[in-house]
Amino acid sequence: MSTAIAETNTGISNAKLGTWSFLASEIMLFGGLISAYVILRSGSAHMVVPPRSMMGIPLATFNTFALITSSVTMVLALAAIQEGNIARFQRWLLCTIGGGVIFLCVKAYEYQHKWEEGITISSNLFGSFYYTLTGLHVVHVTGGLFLMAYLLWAGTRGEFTPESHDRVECAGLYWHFVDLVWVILFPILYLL
Amino acid sequence: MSAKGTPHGASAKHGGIDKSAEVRTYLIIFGCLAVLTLLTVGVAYMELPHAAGVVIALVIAAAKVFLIGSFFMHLRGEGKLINWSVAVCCALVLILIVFVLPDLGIHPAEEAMRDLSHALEGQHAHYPAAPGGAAPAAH
Repeated sequence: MSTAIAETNTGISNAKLGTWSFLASEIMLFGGLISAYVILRSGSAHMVVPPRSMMGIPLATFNTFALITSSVTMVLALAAIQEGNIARFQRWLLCTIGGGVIFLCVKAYEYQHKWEEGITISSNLFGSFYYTLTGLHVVHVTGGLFLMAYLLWAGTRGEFTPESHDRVECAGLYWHFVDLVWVILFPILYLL
Repeated sequence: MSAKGTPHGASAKHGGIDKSAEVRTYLIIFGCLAVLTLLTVGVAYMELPHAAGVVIALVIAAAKVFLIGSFFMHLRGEGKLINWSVAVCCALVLILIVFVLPDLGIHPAEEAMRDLSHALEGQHAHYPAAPGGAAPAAH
């Protein structure tokens, strides 16, 4: 890691710079969709927002906690590998994967109930945005889980050391971003 | 990049910095995020005016984003290049939202000024008219 940094003009490792560039494009992707939702929610007569009782706020709140917790366990996994403690790194990484899996399971349950209650992707403008935004987020969570599983596998092969753990760091940045997006989606879709 | 050359604000014990302090910070941030989440839900169930509810929810969401970005993503320890890249992206997203609002007949700045002037006029209405001066207009 330190060698790689010394070799770049920016003083930032290529992996990290690449990850941040990718996250910058992700900010614009979600930002574009969220801004479209906010604008249409403010000004479109076709945006019929379902009553709160249909939105399942307690479940969504639980899901928010699951994702926030997985973000903390991810950063603790990074701290563990920086200390060279592989066992603890794997334990925290498993907790992170657990948080992500819980999130996806709850989301699947939520989708099924919303669908049964008539909130579908083609029911109205709100339904379109709800499934597009949360669906895109679910795709990101799923991708993150594959990434975590890879890290777990690479960790068992002894590929990470306190001096070399770029991949853990970059995967962590991605996972925190996924958490951050949900922190914005939760109030604008469920609470407002 | 924190501490130029040390990854991710890196501060491993082997690097001479106490890691437990960092872990404690993460747990405190987790507590703050949990409290803010409960606060968001609590505010949503309070009978506040819609505009006030929206503003409070967005302020709390912004605070959570700040905490995750600063501490979990270690932005506060990064250099100017990454911080500016993120700032530019956020500014562009804000432009996407704010610059389109007037087209919907929503003028946030004008409305804020109007509310402020109404509030000030209301405040003046409570005072008696100055001797020889005109009484404040009632609204």
